[in-house]
Amino acid sequence: MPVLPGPYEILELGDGGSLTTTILKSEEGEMTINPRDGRSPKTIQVVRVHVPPETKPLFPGYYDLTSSTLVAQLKPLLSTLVGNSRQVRITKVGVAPRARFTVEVI
Amino acid sequence: MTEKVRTYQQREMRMLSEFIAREYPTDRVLINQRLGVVSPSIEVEGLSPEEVRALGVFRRYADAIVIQPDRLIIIEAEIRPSPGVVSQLDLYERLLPTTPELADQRGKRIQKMILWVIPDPVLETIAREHDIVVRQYIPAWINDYIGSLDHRKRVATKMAI
Repeated sequence: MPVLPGPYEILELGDGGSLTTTILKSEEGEMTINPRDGRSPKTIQVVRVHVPPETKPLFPGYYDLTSSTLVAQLKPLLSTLVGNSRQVRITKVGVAPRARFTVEVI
Repeated sequence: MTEKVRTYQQREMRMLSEFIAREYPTDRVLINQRLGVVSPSIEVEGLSPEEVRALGVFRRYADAIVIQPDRLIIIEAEIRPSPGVVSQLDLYERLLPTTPELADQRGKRIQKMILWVIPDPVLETIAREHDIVVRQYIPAWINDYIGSLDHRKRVATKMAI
């Protein structure tokens, strides 16, 4: 799997926080993260979703989704979401490492 | 939660999302939706939204809810089904009408569905008695995983000796 080029823009939601958007394009790849707690760097699978300026006015125009749970939920649905007007709402419930995500295809 | 459990759940989640993309590509869908009332069961005042949410962590999760014009389909996905999935779905059916996120869907018929990889004829019979539809979906990528399981974990409940 290719390494995604930077800059990285990891989607960080708080408990109960959500993102509602359409998806213009998606990419899959890997990135290396450096955990803040001092653990050694780790390579993880990432889905990068490009979103419209209405969702994210500031550069870069995408979010990197790094939660393996969220990636497992969302990746198979991208074929029904990318390049059309359907919206997806991602809501985070709880905090890492026990956070879960509700994914709603609207 | 152990890494092993998490990886197992991610496989089931991936299987479920693939199934939904294939079977319900145009329907509104909620994956991993919490069910039941939001408000705490004890009378408390002056809580912040975060505190109310924290008290709501005991809400149950349905793997998926598909919203169709005439019905709601509650889906539980399991690679190898456990007997508890039947009572889980019965419980979710009760909780669904009290779920505020789905208040606009009240009054619709509720259909319960088990999605599995490894079929279980005994459980299927019980599921039918509970008005539960059973569907099998075998993703191409799952064969390697199934092959790595012990034999006893790859087979269904036996109906007869």
